[in-house]
Amino acid sequence: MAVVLAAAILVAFILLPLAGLFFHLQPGDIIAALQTAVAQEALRLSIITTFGSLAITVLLGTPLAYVLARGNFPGRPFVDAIVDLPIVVPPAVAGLALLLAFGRNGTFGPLLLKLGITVSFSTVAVIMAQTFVASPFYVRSARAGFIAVDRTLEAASASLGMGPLRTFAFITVPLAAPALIGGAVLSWARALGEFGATIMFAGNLQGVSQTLPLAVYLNLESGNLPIAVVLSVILILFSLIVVIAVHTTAERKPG
Amino acid sequence: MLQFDLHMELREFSFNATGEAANGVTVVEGPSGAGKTTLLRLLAGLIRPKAGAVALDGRTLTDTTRNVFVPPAQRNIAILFQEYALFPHFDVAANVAYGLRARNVPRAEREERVMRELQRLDIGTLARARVTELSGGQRQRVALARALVVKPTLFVSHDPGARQLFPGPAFHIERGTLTQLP
Repeated sequence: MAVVLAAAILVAFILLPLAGLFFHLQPGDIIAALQTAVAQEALRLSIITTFGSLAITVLLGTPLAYVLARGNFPGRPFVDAIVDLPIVVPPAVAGLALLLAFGRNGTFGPLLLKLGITVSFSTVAVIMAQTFVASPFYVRSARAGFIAVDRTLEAASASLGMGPLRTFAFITVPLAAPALIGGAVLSWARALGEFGATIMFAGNLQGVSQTLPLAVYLNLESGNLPIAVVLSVILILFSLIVVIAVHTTAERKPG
Repeated sequence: MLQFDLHMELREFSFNATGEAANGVTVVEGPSGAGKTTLLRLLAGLIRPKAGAVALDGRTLTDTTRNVFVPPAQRNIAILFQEYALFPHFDVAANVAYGLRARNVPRAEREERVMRELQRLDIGTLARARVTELSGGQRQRVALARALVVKPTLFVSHDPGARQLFPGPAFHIERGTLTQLP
């Protein structure tokens, strides 16, 4: 009985505030909010930056995950730990670190300035902040997926004449696909919700760095509660889709 | 003609294997832990020996003294793996066609050769079956078809049950040393 009660309390604690947001919606609110420039630009920016950071994460994270799963090199536990670090580092700290490294007055600032690049307080900074914070979710999942692929199958592919790249494409990736897709979806969701590192490193400029979570914060601060609620509901709906997607890919067995 | 002289340092013991085999089917025999898998992997180039050489039809595949190591995909050595190692995400026909795809055989010829091989082994009706749904005996035949359809220069079997199918030259391995049976 106590177990049921404890479980019910926690589930209700998670569900009620989120569900409650929907009750704050007035019928005309959604349409009105979506017609404002601040909401449209936040939505557009969130879509562009999250898919940008997802592309970078998959492009760079897949080889890294494979090397971590298959490679036997000294210092692998060290690299493993570094990859996981952004998950536990507070996002605000990550944002400050990025600012001090790539900001105008940061370590690499003068070098980037010479190349004519200013990253801080730009859309690129948003993508960098999201990649920093969200990529570990993909790399972890992909690494686990690659580890689970039977290496005899890769050996069989090689002995049948397929080189390493084609073996990777035809055998390893399809068999690890549920883990790759699950990791990509989780990492995308983490990027979509990114707030702390973004506001520190990229600022909160409408149309440049103001993604959905930042727009929620700004509109709440400036007393525009209906817009904050509508954007929050949009974020919750995205999250719901992600949770459902992760659960269905996790249940589907490869093969 | 296959010739090899291989030395390998493993965790529990060192492994020396020297031998020759005629082309065609070679069955590797020996008690569990004797090094059958290691020998097969060394021959196929899936692992590198500490020292030694492998030559097939006069072509050097491995030679540690001259730093020669032909990648497995270019050796044309087909293996019948112990657990068959069928690709679970492909159907039977796609499994058998895999080595032909690797050799860029045109689709029509590929399908024809796959079908002929399946029918020769009496599993033509299984072409569209999922390999996860096959019995042990059916899996063995699919693995056989997949290995043989590419016309390998050397076919090495790691499956004890295949000894009856192929009364070819055999090797017998005793704890890390390999000698050819008379």
